Amino acid sequence: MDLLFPLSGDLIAALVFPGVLGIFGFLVVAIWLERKLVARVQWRFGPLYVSKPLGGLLQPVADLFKLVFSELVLPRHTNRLLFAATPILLFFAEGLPVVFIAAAPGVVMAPHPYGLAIAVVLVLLVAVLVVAMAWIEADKFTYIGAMREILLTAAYEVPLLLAALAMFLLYGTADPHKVVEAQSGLWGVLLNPLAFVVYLVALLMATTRFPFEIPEAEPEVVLGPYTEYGSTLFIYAFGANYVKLYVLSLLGAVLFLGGWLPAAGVLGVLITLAKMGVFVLPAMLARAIYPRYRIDQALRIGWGQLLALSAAAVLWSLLAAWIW
Amino acid sequence: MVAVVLFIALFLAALVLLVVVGYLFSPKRPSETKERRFEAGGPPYGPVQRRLLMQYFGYVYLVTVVEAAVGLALVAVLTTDAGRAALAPLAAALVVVIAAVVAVVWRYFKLLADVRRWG
Repeated sequence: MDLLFPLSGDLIAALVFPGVLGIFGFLVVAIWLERKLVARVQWRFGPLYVSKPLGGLLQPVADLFKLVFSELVLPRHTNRLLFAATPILLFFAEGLPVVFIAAAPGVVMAPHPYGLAIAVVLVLLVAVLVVAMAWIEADKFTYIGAMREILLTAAYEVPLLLAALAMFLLYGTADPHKVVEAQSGLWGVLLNPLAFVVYLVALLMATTRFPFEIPEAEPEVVLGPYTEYGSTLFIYAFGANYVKLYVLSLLGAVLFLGGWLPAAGVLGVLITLAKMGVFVLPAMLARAIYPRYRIDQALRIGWGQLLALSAAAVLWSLLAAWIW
Repeated sequence: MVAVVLFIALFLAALVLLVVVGYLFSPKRPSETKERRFEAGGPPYGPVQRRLLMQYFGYVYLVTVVEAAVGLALVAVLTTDAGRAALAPLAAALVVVIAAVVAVVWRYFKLLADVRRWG
């Protein structure tokens, strides 16, 4: 891609960003940033004592180490092999959509004419694994968590798909490169603001973050689908949500914010990274300022206002495509 | 293609390796209590207080999967040249489908949104 880097674009995508290093790096930075930001809003300091000069940036790393080297308990009442395998599969499946998303021209693992559409569908299919995981744990809290997860999924899936579909209709393509090219004049967020709003709310629902943190509501169902896990498996089960946030933010940056425009190459990758913040920061800050919805309230939003808005977004795109 | 294989191999290897390392080097003191089902701190006892109605959730589960696949099919058709040529009928069909979903939701929205009828 550049003279500076001997690696080709697709290998950079696989190894650095948005690939393996990006996913694990995001996990650490996102957890730190979330704790710091929420602490700032609530007039606390947040993580402080591990690596004080860095503002506690290494605290999540210390936490991850602590979790990796704590005892791995496999409960007796479950299928132990599946119990250990599903969180790994879940984490992996959450990261899989980045294969089809470009971070800069040529920085994509598998360029495909329907790349972004496949990524959206892969993101939506992962809910199946969360439910499977909860089912394997076989515990009343995980069952309730699974029910809430699947109900929430059914509520945000249609609006999220319609929001993405509206953008694909507008651009006339789902190829990441062409989608970004189509935004060289105006960004997608200005071309179809309705779809952007739907996408942002659906992102909060999909990553079960506040105010939709319902499947793992701590005061009600312990940790919902993650209740039985500990040690490394807990990192995967719980961290999978952060990976989903990473994927959906990347997808959103490409779909709505013009991706790597106005640059290319290494600078383009950095710009994409910065634009992801538009989705990541609200998702983190919502935790500090919003209470939690009840499941029926969240479903009402999903099947009511959000569905109507997303249908309107598709009509908007059809009209816009027809006029041009 | 090399990049995809490399990504998948490296990602999976890293995930499995971390579990294996943790398993090998973490303390192992198994006990009956630790391996028990999590019951919010207390041992499981007594009859079921309230049943969770979940016989219909299989359908919701099915819908979530089918929906994603249908979305992919729609996009696949709409982004081909033949699909673009037939944009008007496809768009009309799409509008009809969305309208049908919205109509059904509209009809039963009050009933579904009433949490007291769930139990």
